Amino acid sequence: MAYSQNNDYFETKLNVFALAEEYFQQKDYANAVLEYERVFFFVSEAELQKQALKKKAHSYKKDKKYLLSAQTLQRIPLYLMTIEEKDSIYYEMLLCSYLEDDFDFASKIMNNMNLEVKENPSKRLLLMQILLSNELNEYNSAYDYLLQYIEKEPVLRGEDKYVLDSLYNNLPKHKSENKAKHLAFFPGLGHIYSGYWFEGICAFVVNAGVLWFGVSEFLLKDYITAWVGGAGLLSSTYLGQQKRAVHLAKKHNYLANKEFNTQIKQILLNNL
Amino acid sequence: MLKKEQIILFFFLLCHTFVFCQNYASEDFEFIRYLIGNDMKNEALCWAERDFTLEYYKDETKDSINFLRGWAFYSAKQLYKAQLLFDKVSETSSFKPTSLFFSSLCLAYNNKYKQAEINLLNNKTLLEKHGELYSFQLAGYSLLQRDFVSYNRYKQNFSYSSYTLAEREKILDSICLSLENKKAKSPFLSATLSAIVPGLGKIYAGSLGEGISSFITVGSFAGICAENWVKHGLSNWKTILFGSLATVFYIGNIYGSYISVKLLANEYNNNQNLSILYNIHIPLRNTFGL
Repeated sequence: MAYSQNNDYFETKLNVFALAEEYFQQKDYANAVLEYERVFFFVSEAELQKQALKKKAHSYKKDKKYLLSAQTLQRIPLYLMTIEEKDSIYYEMLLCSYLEDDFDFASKIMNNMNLEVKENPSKRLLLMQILLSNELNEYNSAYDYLLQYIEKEPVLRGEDKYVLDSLYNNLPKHKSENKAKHLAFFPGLGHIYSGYWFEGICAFVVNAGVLWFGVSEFLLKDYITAWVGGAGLLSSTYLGQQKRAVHLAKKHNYLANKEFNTQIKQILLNNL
Repeated sequence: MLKKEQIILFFFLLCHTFVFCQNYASEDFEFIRYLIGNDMKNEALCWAERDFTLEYYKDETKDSINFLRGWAFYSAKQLYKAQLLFDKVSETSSFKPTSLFFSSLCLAYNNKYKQAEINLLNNKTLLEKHGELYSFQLAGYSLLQRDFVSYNRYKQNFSYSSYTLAEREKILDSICLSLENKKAKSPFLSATLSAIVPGLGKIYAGSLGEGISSFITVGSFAGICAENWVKHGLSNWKTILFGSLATVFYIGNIYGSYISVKLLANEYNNNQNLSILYNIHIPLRNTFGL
């Protein structure tokens, strides 16, 4: 273990890496993180710095701080690394982003991925790319990754391959948020379009009731009541149901994606 | 013979521990600087929260450790702990002036403005060599206490030419001017205005939007109530319903106007205090390179 000349104190008096390892073994991850960072700071040897950052990221992961783990891995310089090592770093970064539900971060990592790794990814890296592309609703990319994955995973060439193909041929049907908003011009129709019949009927009844109140008051020549109680209230319920229709369209799309992604995930993970 | 060996061994271990401790602290200084400078505050905090047994350290090293721990806590905004550690730095330490300035700032952030000022004034001889910065800090604490006389006294030492202070001195002056010119508003007057015309009290307090909104709400309910009263009588359900709503909103608006004067004044004062604290904090960081 070579430490820099300025820090010979560590060389002779204290093995910081060993101390960090001890904290890690004791599951004291906060202190392990600190000591691995100390190793990174004091040593000048690139290999040792790389090991320290890897172990620091691992400590964060064990401590369920996935984003910090991925960010620590990002600090590792990839040059002079073997393709397997690079692949492993990318895999860990994507796994941590996936566990953190930070798909935007994952997307950035995938877009900036090293070309060598991109052209010849490992099986486990491909698996992460499939899962993350699905979460990002990039189904075409996910299917491309799946085809590469199947080449490396013979088990998936049987019935599961047929199921996966049929799933990707029947992608989740999304509801248009704009269409939901425009259909909600007629109260309740946007809700029904998004698949929420009961809410649609309720929205129609409430808006019709308020409109009836306003019109009947107008016919009774109670103009202030008609204007404020009828039109005022109707503007609130009418605009409110339009917003709700858009929200329901978004909810429908989210649930459809989630169901699709869960099915894919189950098949892939069952075959690991 | 055995006893002599034991004594030698004891001294050897003592010296070993002593040297180890001094090295550890000096190495740590740069490391903790690096952690805080690179936004790894959790790591710095983890270090600061360790159980430090300081008995084997030299006084100088003890001071370094206390100062570093204080700084780590300060960076993590744990100001109470930071202040305690800054206060532990001994008079002879080169860190003492910095610790005093930051200890006072911690007190000020905890709304103890008077104590912060006294903390600096009690150490005048030690801090006076920082001349303008010392006066600037005292001026800031006076302004936080709204003591404009003291502020103007300390302000006489402002040169408006120091690289680290000039801009902040001008900002502090403008805050002082704004605070001096700010007229206090009466909650009672606000409530009375809202009783006469719903929403007017809120406009007086400084919330134009809320005032208009209150006027429309109360006015609408009152309008419906009046219409139904005239056409259908006092016992009509719409008269009772909208009359009750109008009454509730009318009384609520009077109370809201009374409160909003106090709330807006508090909000204004808090914002000004935050601005003062920020502006006295920046020169400290720049001067001491933290």
